[in-house]
Amino acid sequence: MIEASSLTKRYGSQLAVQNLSFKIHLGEVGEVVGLLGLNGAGKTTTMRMLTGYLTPTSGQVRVAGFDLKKNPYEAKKNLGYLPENPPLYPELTVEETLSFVAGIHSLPKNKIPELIDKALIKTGLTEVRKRLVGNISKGYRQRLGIAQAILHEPPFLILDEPTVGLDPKQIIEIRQLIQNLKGESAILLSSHILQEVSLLADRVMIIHHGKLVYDQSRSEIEKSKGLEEIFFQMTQDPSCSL
Amino acid sequence: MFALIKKEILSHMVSPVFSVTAALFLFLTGFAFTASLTQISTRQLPEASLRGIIYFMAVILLFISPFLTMKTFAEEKKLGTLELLLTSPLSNLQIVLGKYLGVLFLLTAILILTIEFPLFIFMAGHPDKAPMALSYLGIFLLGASFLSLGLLASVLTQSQMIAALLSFVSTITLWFLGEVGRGLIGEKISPIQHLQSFTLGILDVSDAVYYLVIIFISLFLTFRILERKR
Repeated sequence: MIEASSLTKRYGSQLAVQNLSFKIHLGEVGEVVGLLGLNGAGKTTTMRMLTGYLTPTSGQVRVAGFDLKKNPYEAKKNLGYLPENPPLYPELTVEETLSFVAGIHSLPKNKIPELIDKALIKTGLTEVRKRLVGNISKGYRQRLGIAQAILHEPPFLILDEPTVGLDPKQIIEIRQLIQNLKGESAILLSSHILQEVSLLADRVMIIHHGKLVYDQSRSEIEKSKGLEEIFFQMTQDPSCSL
Repeated sequence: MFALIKKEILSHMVSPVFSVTAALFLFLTGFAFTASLTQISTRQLPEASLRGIIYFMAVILLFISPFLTMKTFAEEKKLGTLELLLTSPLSNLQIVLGKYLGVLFLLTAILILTIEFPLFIFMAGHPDKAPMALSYLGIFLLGASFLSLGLLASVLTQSQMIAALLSFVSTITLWFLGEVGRGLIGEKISPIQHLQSFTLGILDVSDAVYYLVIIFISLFLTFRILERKR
């Protein structure tokens, strides 16, 4: 379980995220949670706090029972993270990238080749494994970013806008890939594409101005007026209504 | 951490910055070494020692070490890959040490490639072995202290250019302070002054400690800056 309790992030006088609390359950199949919000609502900040890149101003994060601040090593081992821009070194090959990631996760040496092969197959990168990262297309880079995140088979995956900037075919492929990862890990994914979230997520959270304004399961959403209407209602500013 | 060191070395090795920097160092020192061998006057034959060339190497290191360290953190920040390192199970201390050991490897490689200088001297004369070995230890420590300052400069910025400039300014300031304060405390501050005992074949612990203190302080500050709240 990922447990965020009253997370707050303040940049100077600006509150980016206020008092956010939620839980993401691993359960038997692992739930897929969609994090929705307008640009600048605090999605990336929230994810960066969950993964330990940003230190919350107040509040705490627990991953699989480990406090991210007190036991960062154990907590981070249970997380896979795809940042908004896949963090890749252009001078390495696809394979070298993954063996570097295996190394920084201190995966057992004898298992590394097998895990790399598995990640390459899952993300459809096998045919470009010897190519330099600097020379592959954006779609491949995005997949390599996901391969980095799933390589150590973490129980929790955090994907920040996994389909942004891709062409329609690549978007469909990445969505298919996420569908396939379902059941292996619990996934938190952010997006501002509503259809994407309603397609993939079992549960939807909406943040607006750094506050959690909505958190319901898909069946609840389907029972009520539908995601689109809920989203517009939740992200409407009283001051600037049309 | 081993994986990080390996990646660092690989990344530097494939980058043209490193090959050009290393080639420049080897060319200039080789040139100076040749000159020192051919500078034979009738009254004084050249000394069978590395003393002159070691000081020359120190000057060249002053100019090239910023190019070895500028990308360490600045490039990771620019590419966004620092996010990968900081969200991985690596601790911040491991990240700093991994990066530092990576550039130390480069320095060692460059220095090993100058091994022909002592070999020539051994072929031509009967030099003292201790000053020669200690000269190399001294120049390694001096280079290592420059690299630690370069690492600190690189963690402060996203721009490799600014990292290189900051690194150059910090090392040359230390050097000049020593010249300005000559006779007062200058000898204590200047990195070049602490090289002397090594080139004479004396292992003066205080001189070694001087370099180690610079390395420790720079790496500690680098670690703190990485550690500070984001």
